[in-house]
Amino acid sequence: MRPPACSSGKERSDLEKDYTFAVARIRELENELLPKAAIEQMVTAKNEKEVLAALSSRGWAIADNHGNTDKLLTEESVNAWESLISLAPDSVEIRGLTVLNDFHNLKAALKALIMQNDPEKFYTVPTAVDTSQLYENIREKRYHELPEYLRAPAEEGYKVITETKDGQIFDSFIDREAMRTLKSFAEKSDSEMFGEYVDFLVAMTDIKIAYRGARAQKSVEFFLDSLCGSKFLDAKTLAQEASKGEQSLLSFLDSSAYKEAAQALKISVTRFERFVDDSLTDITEAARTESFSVDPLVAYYHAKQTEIKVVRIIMTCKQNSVDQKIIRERLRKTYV
Amino acid sequence: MSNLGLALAIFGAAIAALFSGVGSAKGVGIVGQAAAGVVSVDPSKFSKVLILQLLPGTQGLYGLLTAVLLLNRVGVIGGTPAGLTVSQGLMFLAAGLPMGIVGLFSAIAQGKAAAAGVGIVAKKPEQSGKGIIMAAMVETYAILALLISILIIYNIAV
Repeated sequence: MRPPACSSGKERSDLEKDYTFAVARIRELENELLPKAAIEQMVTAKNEKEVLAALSSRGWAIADNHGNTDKLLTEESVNAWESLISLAPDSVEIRGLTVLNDFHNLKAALKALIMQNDPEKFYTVPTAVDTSQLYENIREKRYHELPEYLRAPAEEGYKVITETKDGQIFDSFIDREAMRTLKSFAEKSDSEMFGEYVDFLVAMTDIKIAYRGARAQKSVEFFLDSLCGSKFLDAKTLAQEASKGEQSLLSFLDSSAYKEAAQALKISVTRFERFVDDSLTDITEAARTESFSVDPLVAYYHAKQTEIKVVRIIMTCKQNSVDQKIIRERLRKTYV
Repeated sequence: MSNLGLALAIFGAAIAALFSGVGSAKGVGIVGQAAAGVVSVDPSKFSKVLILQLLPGTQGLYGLLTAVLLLNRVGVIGGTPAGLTVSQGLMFLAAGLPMGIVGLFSAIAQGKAAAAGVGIVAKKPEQSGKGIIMAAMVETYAILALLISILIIYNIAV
C-alpha cells in the first residue's frame, strides 16, 4: 500500500493547528458509524448474507467488494485513515495512530528477508510506510527511505534477527520499540486524551506480554528486554513479578492501578482483550465535548477500528454458526 | 493642537468600528470553518449552519452603528465638526471603548460557541435551535456594550 501524502515540512505551532473544520467534518462522519440498532440487527441475522445486507443498507460498499469481507473491512479502515490524514496532515496524534501497524509491517518485511518469502500477505493497513517498497528498502539497507522513527529500529532489528536467529527475541525487540515510539509520539502531543490513550495501550501491552511470558515461565531478562513501562506500571517491577509466575503477576496487578485488567485476565485472554478495547473507548469518550482539538479525530479513528472489529467478530461468528449470546459477549463497546 | 479633541473623538469611533469588525471577522471565520466541515459531507445542512455563522457578525454592525452615531454627534457626518476640548474628545473616545472591546471578545467567543453548535447540527439536526440559542446568549453582552456606548455618546455635553 502506498501511504497517503504526509507533510514533510516544519511542524506547525500549536496556535496554527486549527481543527475547527476537521472536527465538524468528523461529527458528520460519525453519523455514518454503525448505531447499536444496526449491530443488534447483525447479531440477530440468520446468516452471513443477512449481515452483509444490513451493512449494505448502511452504505457499506458490499457490491464493490463482491462480498469479500476482508477486502471490505480493509477498505473501510484505509478510508477512515485517509480521511483523517487529509484533514490533519501535520498532526502528531494522527501520525501516531499507525505506528503499531508500521512496526508490524517492518517486522513482516524483516522476517520475510530472513525466510526468503513474500511479505505482502503479512502487511497490515493503514500504514504510513510505503509497503510496495518496504521489502526492497530493507534488503538494500536504504533505511533513510523509511519514516524517521523506523530507521534505527529497522537497522537494529536486522542485526538482532541475523545475529540471534531467534524469532522471539526479535519479536519482543520490535514490539518494545513500537511501544517506545508510540510513547514518544504521545510525549510530543498536547492532547491529554491522546496521552492517556497511549499510556493505557502501552500498559495493557506490557501486561499481555508479562502474562504470556509468566505462563511460559520466561526469565526476568526476557521481561526486562520486552517490557516498555508506563506511567502507572514500572517495567522493572512488572518484570520481576512476571518472572515469579502467573499467580504472582496477577496478585501484583490486583494491587495496582490495573486491578480490572487482572480480573479480566483471570477469566480469559479474550475477556482481557475486550476489556482493553472497551477501556480505550471509555478514554475517547472525552472527545465528545471537544470542538476545537484533535481529540475527536483520534476518537473517530478508534471508533472506526472498533466498528471494524465488531463486524469482523459478527461475520466470523455467523460463518461458524455461533450462538447470539456468545456473539454479544464478544462484542466491543462502540463510540456511537 | 486645536483639533485634538475632535481627533480623539474620531479615534473613539475608529476603535468601536475596528475592534468589533475584527472580532466579527474572526468569529464568522471560525463558524465558517466548522460549517464547511459539515456541508462538505452533507450539503443539505447549509441553511442551518448559515444561521449560526451569521450570529458573530452582529458585533461588526454594532461597531459600525456606534461609530456612525459618534461621528454624527460630533458633526463629522451631517453637520459642521464641533470644536471639542481635549476632555470632551477623551469622553467620546471612552464612548467608543465599550463597543470596541466587548465587540472584539464577544464576537470571538460567540464564534466558538456557534462552531460548537455546528457540531449539534451535524449530530442532531433536529436540536439545532438549542445550538443557536446557546450561541445567541453571548449576544447579550455585545448589546449591553452597545447600549452603554450610545448612552455615553448622547450624554456628553458639547
